[in-house]
Amino acid sequence: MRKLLHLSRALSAVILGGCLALSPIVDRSVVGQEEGKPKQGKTDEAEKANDAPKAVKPKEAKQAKANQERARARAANDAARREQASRLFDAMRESWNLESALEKGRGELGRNQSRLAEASKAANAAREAANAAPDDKPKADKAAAATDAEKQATEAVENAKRQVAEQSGKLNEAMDTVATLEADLLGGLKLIPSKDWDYEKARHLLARAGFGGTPSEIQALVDMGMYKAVQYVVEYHERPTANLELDVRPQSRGPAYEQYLSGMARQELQQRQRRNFRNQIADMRKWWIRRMVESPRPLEEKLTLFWHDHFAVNFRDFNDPYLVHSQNQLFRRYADQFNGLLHGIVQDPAMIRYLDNHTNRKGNGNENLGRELQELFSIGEENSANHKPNGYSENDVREASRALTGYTYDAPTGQFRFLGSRYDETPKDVLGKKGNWSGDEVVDILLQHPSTANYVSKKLFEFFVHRNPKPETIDAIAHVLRSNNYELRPMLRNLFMSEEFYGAEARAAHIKSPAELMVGTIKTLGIKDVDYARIDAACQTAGHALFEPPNVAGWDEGQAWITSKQLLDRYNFVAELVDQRNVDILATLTDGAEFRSAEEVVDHLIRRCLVLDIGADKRKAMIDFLGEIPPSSEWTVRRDEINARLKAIVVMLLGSPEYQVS
Amino acid sequence: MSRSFLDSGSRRAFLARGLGAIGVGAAIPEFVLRTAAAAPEPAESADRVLVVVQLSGGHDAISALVPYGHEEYAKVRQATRIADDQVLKINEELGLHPNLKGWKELLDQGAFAAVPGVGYPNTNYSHFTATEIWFAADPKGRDVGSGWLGRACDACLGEHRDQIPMIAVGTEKSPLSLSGKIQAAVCFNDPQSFRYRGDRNDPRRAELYKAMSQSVPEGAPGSVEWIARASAVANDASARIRRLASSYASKVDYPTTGLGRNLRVIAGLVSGGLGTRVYWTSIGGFDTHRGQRQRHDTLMTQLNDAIFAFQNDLAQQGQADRVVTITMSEFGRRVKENGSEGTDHGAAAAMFLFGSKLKAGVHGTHPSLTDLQGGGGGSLKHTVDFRSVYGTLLDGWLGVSSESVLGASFPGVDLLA
Repeated sequence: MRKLLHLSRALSAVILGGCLALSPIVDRSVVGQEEGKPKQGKTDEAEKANDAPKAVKPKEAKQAKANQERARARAANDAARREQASRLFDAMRESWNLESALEKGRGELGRNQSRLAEASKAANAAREAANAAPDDKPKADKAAAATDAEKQATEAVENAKRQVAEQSGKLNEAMDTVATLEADLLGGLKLIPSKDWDYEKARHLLARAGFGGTPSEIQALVDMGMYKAVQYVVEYHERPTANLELDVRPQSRGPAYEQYLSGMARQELQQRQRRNFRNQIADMRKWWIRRMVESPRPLEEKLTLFWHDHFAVNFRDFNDPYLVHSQNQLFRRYADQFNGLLHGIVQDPAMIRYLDNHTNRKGNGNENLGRELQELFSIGEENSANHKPNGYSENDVREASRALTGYTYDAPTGQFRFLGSRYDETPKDVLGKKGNWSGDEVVDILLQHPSTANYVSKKLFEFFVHRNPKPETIDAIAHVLRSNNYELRPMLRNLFMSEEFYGAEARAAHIKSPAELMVGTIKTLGIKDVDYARIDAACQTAGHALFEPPNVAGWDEGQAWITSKQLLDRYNFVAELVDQRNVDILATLTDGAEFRSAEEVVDHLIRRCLVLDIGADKRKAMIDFLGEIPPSSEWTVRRDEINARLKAIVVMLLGSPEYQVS
Repeated sequence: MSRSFLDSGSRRAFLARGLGAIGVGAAIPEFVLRTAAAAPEPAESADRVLVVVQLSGGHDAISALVPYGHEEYAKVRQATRIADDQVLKINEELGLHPNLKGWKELLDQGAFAAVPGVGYPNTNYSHFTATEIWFAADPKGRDVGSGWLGRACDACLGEHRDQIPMIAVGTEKSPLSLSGKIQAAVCFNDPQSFRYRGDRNDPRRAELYKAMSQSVPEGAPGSVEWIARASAVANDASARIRRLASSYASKVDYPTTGLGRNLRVIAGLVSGGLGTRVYWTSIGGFDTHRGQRQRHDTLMTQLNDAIFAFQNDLAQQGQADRVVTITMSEFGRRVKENGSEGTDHGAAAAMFLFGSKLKAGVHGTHPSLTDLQGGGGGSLKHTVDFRSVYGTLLDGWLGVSSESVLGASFPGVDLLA
């Protein structure tokens, strides 16, 4: 029953969210598109058209007709959705029934199996007794009867097994139907059939939605089946979070006597404080990377990394670790809720400080936050008035910035603060909506803009799947995102089961970011006792210094990670990681596996580390390099020597173009 | 069957043996085959070098090339104003920031030029988009997918990938301006750290590393093949650059700033005959929304000292006639100061050029401080399109058709002697 829990939850979301909430939200987006035109006038004209048809000009009549048609289409759409929802419910009911039937079948099988065990025991005893007394006819008859009973019990078990297999096949089909109907109803992407779920796909899911894992972690996902595996990854709230806390406190003011100190002493004091900040930032980096490695919720950390790039803030601009830490926790808390995030970010002290909104006041504006809020965080520059008729304009930037006046923070406590005295209380016109908007009301207006869900969905797709999505693919997942009020999980569940996610275009198409590369190496090889300061240094050198994105647009992803210098950095740092003295590759490798030859070792490593075939030439070069190696049962006696040789071959494998992609 | 991206040493040997002898098959990547054709005739311009110094953040050029002769200057600028008696005067209208003494000296030597009012229509006020527009030399910015200098190198070198056409110093990451459709830049912070260490100086490991990093099996996805090529270029470039940088001896003292260090590296590579046509480096901190005066003064000192040392060094190394250095920034800043004693994002700004082959002096007049353009309300109108400056350097200095790189013809600026 638990297996279907998420489906029933999804259904209630669909029925409640889809049929009731969904329609208004979709309507709102339609309204949003019309917002640029004088909507009020249009409605009046339409009403006039109904009241006095004769006096109507042809143009107005046309408009009234168009309105009627739109209403009819909407009604038809609602009816179709109701129909879909009831079909989905029927399918779910069927799968529930099948699941109960399967449970019954399993019970029956169990009972038959114990009956068989008893029958076998009795038959064995009877046969033994008959054998002991060859001439005893009654005993021989009894043995024959017991053997017959045993045979019958065996048949019953076989029957029950067949039935269970049949039932679970039916259940899988029913669940496929449910998932397909759900995807249809949500307007999401087409799913792959659950019977295609295998090791490669599970590995792909764990690499993209997390940071990869060991073969046994991947196998666990395979064994769950697709639905449960995706649920396991996406519904991470059902598990405890990483038990790794870090205490970062608000920046304290200098001591009261500071002003009485000599220039030199004061300077020393300030230098010391700066050093403390630097150390705290370094601690935070190590803490976060360690979370990526150890968290039982890898998707949570992956999304946090995504939002850090989306809402990129560079701590060097203000040097306050507490603000950076609070922001990082904001990303984690709302990792799967864009709605909460966008509201959170305009009240986020780190962002306010980074984009100068603490200086944004009535009459002396600062447009930095007002601009990026639209250009980078919600609607996207590609959807600005420069490119789209309903996009935001320079005027909207100015007006939104006025709405954000007074949004500042209190430095000693590091908390958000609204200062009414700085607030520009005159009416604003943001994206055609007029009112005396506050900053948060502007966020609501941005969330209603039809481009916002598409812009965010496209970035998510590029992050998780590949960088060349079709517009209709983005439309589909954006629709799921918007109709779930910007909650990410339904959309991610759909995405992580979709044809696009596992398609040829997605395979090996993602160039790992340095953090993904380093964390992924630790996880794939199951490396213990990691020196996180070194991992942090590696990420920084290879162009991925956490909390220090290059600018407010975040990191350029994909091929931009690979410059000549950074490519060598990547090869160097994975080599250094594996070459560390305390790394025991031998233990990692022999965990549940046996090897008889160099070929088997190399093949295992290729399969474990790469998503691609490396080709015969490189495989042979590796086997030659590794040379004669005894079977793994004999490794422990030559542990150090074998470990060194294994490390060398792993280093070589990781220094390949194939290892740079997932 | 694998595709191997050979390092230049073995590639040269391989080409010398002749392609026919080995048998031209699918194993040889196309670009290597094309490399086998004779290299283009070296023109005189093929020896010339362009160095770009990016002033990142949007430079308030009004405070560097000061329009002290405009009577409105004193009205619009208070906290950031450079007093008349501090300005290093060039003419009745314009003068340099007092910390730019070295630049003034270069001007007097005939090796400094300034072009005021450089910009483009429909200014974009976002750092990122505007930077991308300058880098791409196209209003579409990064959607173009390549940068003007990358395309220039594409035009010069075509498919010849065994060269190091562009180097970015002081960055881990190639700027868009140096991304060609074919050619790419090498970039590093420190030339000596630019090497592979996983081989632990063991020849067997070094050999396997090369095989692993520079070849991919036939039919590998594009992303992977692309990385294998990048590996071959990186391994080769690493060897050459470390050799040149470690042997460079300069008689000039550079300032110990990031920019000073980077320009010194560039001087060494230029003098060592690396054959690289384009160098790029940057200095940040120009996004002066708050408390501009002090920060900008410091930046002027840093710029002045580093570029002055660089020009002197090139002259001493006998390289001065080969090199033109320019500065660019994504935009200028508003004419009027904001409420935080700083300036917000603006439009047109001056560009600065250095080199003995320039026509020294100020080219054109400063845009009006009162006849301004909209957008944010109150930015300088441009009098020269930045692509006119680019075009002049492409046609007249790098010897590449500006029309092919910029996609259109822009009127030149009479900058080159």
